[in-house]
Amino acid sequence: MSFRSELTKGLVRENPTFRILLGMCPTMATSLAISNGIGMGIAATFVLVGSNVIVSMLRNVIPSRIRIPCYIVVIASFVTMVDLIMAAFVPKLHEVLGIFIPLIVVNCIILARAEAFASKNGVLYSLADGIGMGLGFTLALTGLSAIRELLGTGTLLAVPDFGFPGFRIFDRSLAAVMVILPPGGFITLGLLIGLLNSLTRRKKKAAQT
Amino acid sequence: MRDVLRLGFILFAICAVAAGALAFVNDITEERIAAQAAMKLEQALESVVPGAEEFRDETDRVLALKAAVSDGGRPEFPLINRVYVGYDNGEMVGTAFACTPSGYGGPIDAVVGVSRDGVVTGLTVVKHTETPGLGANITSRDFQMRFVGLRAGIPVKVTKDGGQVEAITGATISSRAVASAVDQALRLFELVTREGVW
Amino acid sequence: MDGTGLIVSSSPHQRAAVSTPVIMSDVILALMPAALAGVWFFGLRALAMMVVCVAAAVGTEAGLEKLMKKPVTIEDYSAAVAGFLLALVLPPDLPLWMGAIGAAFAMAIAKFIFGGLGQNIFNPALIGRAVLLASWPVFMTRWRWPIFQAPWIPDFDAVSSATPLALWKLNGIKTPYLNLFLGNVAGSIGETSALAILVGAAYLLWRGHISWRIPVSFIGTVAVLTALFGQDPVFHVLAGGLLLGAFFMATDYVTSPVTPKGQIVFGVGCGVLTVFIRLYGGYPEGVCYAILIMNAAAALIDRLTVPRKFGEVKKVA
Repeated sequence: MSFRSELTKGLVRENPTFRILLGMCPTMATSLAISNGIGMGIAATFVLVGSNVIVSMLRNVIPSRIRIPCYIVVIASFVTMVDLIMAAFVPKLHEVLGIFIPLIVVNCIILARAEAFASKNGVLYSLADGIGMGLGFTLALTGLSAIRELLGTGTLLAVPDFGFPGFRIFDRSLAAVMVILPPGGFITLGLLIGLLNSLTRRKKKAAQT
Repeated sequence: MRDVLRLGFILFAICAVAAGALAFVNDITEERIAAQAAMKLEQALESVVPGAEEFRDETDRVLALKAAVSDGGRPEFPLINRVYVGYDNGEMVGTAFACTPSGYGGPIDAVVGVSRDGVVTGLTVVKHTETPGLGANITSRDFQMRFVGLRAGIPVKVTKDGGQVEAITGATISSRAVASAVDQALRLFELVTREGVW
Repeated sequence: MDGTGLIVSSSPHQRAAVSTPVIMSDVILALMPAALAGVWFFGLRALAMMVVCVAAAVGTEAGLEKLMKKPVTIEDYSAAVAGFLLALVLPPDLPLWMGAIGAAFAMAIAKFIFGGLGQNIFNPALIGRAVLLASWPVFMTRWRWPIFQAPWIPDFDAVSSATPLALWKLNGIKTPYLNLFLGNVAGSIGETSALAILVGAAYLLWRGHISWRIPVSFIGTVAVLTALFGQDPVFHVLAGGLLLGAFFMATDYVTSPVTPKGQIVFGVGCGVLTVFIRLYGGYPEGVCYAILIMNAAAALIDRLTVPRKFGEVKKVA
């Protein structure tokens, strides 16, 4: 176990979205545009890092019988902070992400990391785990939302709430609306997971022979 | 028993610290958030009632009327939430009606501006959850301009329902919702004018 | 598995001489009248759409099977049939590349990912249509009045680019029966002519490839229910995609129940859903979604309608 491996495992090897399949609800709902994906990813990363560090610090103080309520209080506090800070300083992004900011509380990635990792490991490793998992989530969201934004609206990197129309790749009327609707989200995510699985399987096979 | 007390105390301590931290964050953000909400409303109002310098919330005065005309306890204008009257130098220039019609994907928050002589001067959609690429086009200026210039006295409907406003292609329900909001705003305006409130 | 270790399948349980390619080529033959009517009414553009959809469906299936190193199964014609059916339920003016995407999606996502022929839960052609409708609703609801006007058809002054069902739902205008029966109305390429579809359906019934149960219960339910709701049952049977759907889509072996009782339940379910979508839904037509929803229930219907074995006594609950 090293700081570096804890940091990088969340990117691909144990990617929370593609590998552990955690936090599917915000993944589906916010991966409509790259800007939303990144915004959601950063907000979740902030909460993840904060809760990981605090839970790890308190791991010897919190009795195991009441650990879940304690974790939830810690997580909920960080989420509320993010919610308030975003509403105050980036109101447009806050509006776009809407209900999904408060719902970070129930994003399973965060509770799962608190329970499975931070409560058993030191502060430094927990910090690395939080950053890595958060970046993995952000990366997955960004990749998924890039595909959905391109196919579903014909643009890339649009940030309409800041008045930036993004780069138009093809005409809006030709864009497949379904891709940014829920079914398109499920299908795109499913195909991405399948692709990643088949790539790793091939890699493993190649390594064996 | 002692164990319960101990567990309770630890949980209490964590909650207390969390509450303190939240109170601190709330303290530094509260003012900005309130200012932003006010600014947003102000912007919406100004965009639909041009020339107004100041807006006064006169919902209660209008509501009193509304109650008078309601039919069997049912409000006559269920889509209208608030009524803001715009003034310039103490003189009334127009009225902004905040409405919430139901669209395809949920409630739509819209503000409709009506001038003193009963003409729609502006329309803006503050919040909505319509389908991206279809119903979401109710936020486009092109669509909103289709309502500007409509007069009180003629029902506002989309062309599919025999009206004068062309709906967004593939989004009749969203278009219809906005049209119904404008329609109620104009009818409420007519009623208020008839009753001589302003 | 359902715990008993038995698989429900239609009897007789012996392999007949009638194989998939034979059935599928018969289906293609049976679709010819509807396809010809489509070309007659909507011109060579309709023919181009059929060619593109069939090519995309066959190409996608062969390509994916090659890529995944699976036996190539295009020779059973099932991919061609799916592409052909898809083309018949698309508007004549849809851009050809959209038709191709629909066909490719139908093969790749609706069929191949589920494991290929016999494993798919949903009718691939209908999935293709549903995906296109969800993706490009503007193009998918842009209709055209037929180019060809028969002189003996009563002059119908609501000559409009709306389909008969949309005309009825939104404007209260009813298209004359004769237009609907011959197919001189706006609509999908192959769904407008009731006559052409019935000719093809009669052939399939005569060859014994489809049973009467699903189409009759489907169409019958629509007729009875619309009559009960005070609508014109003849109009509702002739208009839209009901006939094409009932005879060619709902009867798909893979995605419909195999037990006789189950087939009746399936048809009635399709009919009820169609009527409710047509009368109360956001769309004027509901056949496509009705069949897809019932497809999802097909396996369940089969389990609940397993024929009782000879001498088996009903269990006392």
